[in-house]
Amino acid sequence: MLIKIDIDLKIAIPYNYIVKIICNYKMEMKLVKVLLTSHGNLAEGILSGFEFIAGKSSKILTLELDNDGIDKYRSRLNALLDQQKGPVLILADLKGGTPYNESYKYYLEHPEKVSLISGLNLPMLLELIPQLTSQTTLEEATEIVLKAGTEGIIKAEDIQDDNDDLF
Amino acid sequence: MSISVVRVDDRVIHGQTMTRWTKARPVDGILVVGDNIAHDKLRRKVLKAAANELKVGIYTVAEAGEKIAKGIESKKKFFLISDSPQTFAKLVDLGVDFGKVLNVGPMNTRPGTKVLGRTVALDQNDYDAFEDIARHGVEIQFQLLPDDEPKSWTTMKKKYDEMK
Repeated sequence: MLIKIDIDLKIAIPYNYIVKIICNYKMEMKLVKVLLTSHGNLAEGILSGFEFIAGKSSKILTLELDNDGIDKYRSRLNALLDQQKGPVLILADLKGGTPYNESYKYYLEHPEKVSLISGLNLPMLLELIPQLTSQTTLEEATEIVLKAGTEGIIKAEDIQDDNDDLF
Repeated sequence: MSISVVRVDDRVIHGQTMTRWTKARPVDGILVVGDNIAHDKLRRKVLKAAANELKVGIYTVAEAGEKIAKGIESKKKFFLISDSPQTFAKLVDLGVDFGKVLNVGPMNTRPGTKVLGRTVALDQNDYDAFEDIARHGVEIQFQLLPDDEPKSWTTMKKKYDEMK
C-alpha cells in the first residue's frame, strides 16, 4: 500500500509531525475491530448490555438485518467492512442465518482481513474488549472469543458454603 | 501488602468486578466483610458462585480484623470488598489496618440518598462514614472502573454539601 503525502512547500511541516501521521496510520491499520451482526435488534441489544457493564467502546461496530432486506444488508456490510483499515472480527448471531452467510462470503474473499464466529453472546465481548490492544492479532482475538463464548454457558448448581478460610 | 483492592461496592461481586478489576489488579481470592452479608445464607452462595474460580471468604466485622491481617501477611493477593462505607468506618474505629486507599464503586440510589453521580448516591450515614475513614488517613477514591479518573472525597463531599 502506498501512502501519498502532499507537502505544500510554502508551509513547513516538521519532519517529526509527518512521522507521527504515518505512525498513527500504521497503528490504525493494526487495530482489531469487532463487528456484531444479527437479525433484528440483537446486535444493538448485546452492545447495550456490554456498555451497561463495561462502558462505551470505540472498538465495537454493529450491523443489523432489518426489513429492508438481504440486498440492502449485503451492500451495507460490504461498505462497512471495506471502510475498515484494520482487521475485523465478525460475531454473527446465528450460524447459517443471513448475517452469518453474507459475512461468510466476505470472509472467503478476504480471509486475511476478517474472522467470523457464530453464536454471538455477552461473555465473548466482556472478555475480549477490555484486553484488546493495538498489539492484539486477529487470531488472538478469535481464540479469546471462542473460549469465553463457550465457557459462558453453564448449568447452575448449588454450591458448598462451609469454608471461608482462604489462607 | 497483599490486599490489591479495597473497595465499596453495593453489589459486592458482579460482572464489573470479575471482568474489569480482576484483569487490572492481581487477585487470588476475595475477602467480603459485612454483618448483613455474612448472616444471609442465600446471598453468601450467590456471591461465591459469582466469583467463578476465585475463592471467597465472607466475614462479620468482628471476624474481619484477624482475616484482613492474615490477608496482608499472605503471599496471595486479595480484594477486600464491602457493600457499604459504614463497614469500613467500623473497621477503622476498631483499629483495623487495611491500607491507605479505599476505592469506591457503585453505591446506587436508596431512600434518603443524594445522587452525586451516575453510580454514587450517599445518605448522611455514608457521609459520616467517609468522613471518619478520611480522618484516619485513608485516601478515598471514587472510581467505577480501573480506567476511570478517580474522584476524591473532597470533591464528592463538596457536591454533597452543596445539595439541599
